[in-house]
Amino acid sequence: MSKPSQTPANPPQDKGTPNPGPPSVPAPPAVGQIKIRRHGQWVLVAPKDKKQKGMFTYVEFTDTDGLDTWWIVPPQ
Amino acid sequence: MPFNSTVWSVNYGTLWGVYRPSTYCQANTSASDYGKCYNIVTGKAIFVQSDTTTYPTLPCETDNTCTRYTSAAVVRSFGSIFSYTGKQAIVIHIWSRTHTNTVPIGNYYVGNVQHTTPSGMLVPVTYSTADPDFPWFFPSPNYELSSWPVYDPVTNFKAYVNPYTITSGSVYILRWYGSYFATSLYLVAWENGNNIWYASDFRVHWSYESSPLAIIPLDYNNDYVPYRELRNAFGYAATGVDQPGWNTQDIINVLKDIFPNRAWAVFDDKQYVLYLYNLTIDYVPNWLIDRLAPVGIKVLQPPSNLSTAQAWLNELNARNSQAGGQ
Repeated sequence: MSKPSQTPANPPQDKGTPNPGPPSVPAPPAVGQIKIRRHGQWVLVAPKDKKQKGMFTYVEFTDTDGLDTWWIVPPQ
Repeated sequence: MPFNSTVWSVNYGTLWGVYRPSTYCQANTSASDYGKCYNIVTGKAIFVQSDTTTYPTLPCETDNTCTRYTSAAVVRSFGSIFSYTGKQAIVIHIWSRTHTNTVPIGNYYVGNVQHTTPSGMLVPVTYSTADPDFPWFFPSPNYELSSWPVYDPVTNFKAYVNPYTITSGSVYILRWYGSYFATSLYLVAWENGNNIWYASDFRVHWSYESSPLAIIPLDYNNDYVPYRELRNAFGYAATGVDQPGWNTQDIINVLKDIFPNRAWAVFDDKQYVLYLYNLTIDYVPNWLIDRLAPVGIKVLQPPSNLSTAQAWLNELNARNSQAGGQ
């Protein structure tokens, strides 16, 4: 009686999404642009204004929903 | 489920942060300075004098050092501290200090019922018509005659009488730590007398389930009274900030519908986005930013009239001096 093999002879290949590799690094901001971290993504925005509020610095831009939006600025 | 904590305080003549305020009023009707209040730290003391014929105006009314009530009450209600629908809150800490000329009624019996509440002391109760001597939070059965500073090894269920002296009247201090589960809390004082005064500071600390918040001083002009149904969308809090609801978009929709001409904000505690209506970022106070730490601030509608935004800011600051409001 043979011992069952621990590994199948032809292991199924993962044909799902390819390995995404390391997290993408945002491209360096172009002149006049600032990178912000929004909903888990790096986004480049062209700020209209910048303000310190309390402990935080926010930049102003028009978001994709059309709303005037201020977002926290991480260290650039 | 994370919980948020908040603090709210009221100052009727004295101030929580002042070590030994010497606030008092004159209630001796034979005295030449009858009806005057002295050494008010902030806010106004309470003076009850129902005789408006002999005393049409008290000196403390004229110089804005007291709020006068012309009808005697057994229990004076100072309104709601918070009222949540379907959200859990836990009262954690209470500080109440009173200077008063009223005679303490503690430690006496009517029939078999022991009454424990000093007159003129601000105490929280859990429903609007509750009797303040029902000892939800209040000590029973003994007070401690004390000298300042108060040594306070076990703060639960202990009140201090005259830990320091004032020119006229007595001092009471009550501290309470614990965990009382409640969905609403109201502020009342037992009075049951006429020609009485009291100057009090009261501070309460509670926690509530983290939720989207409606940030608007709802008690401004009692605007919310006709809209009791909004309690199903979000709660009420005396701070104007700690008003949790279930869903950010529901809160925005209700506020747009009911208060289209007022300024308000809604905080989304999932995305950490603060939505502004009839407001700009310039009108959001730094203490609110530091407390909520929103990563994003979105302007749903800029103010057409800046006085609307300024009124929101002024009212919010007035209700949150303990958080940094001026």
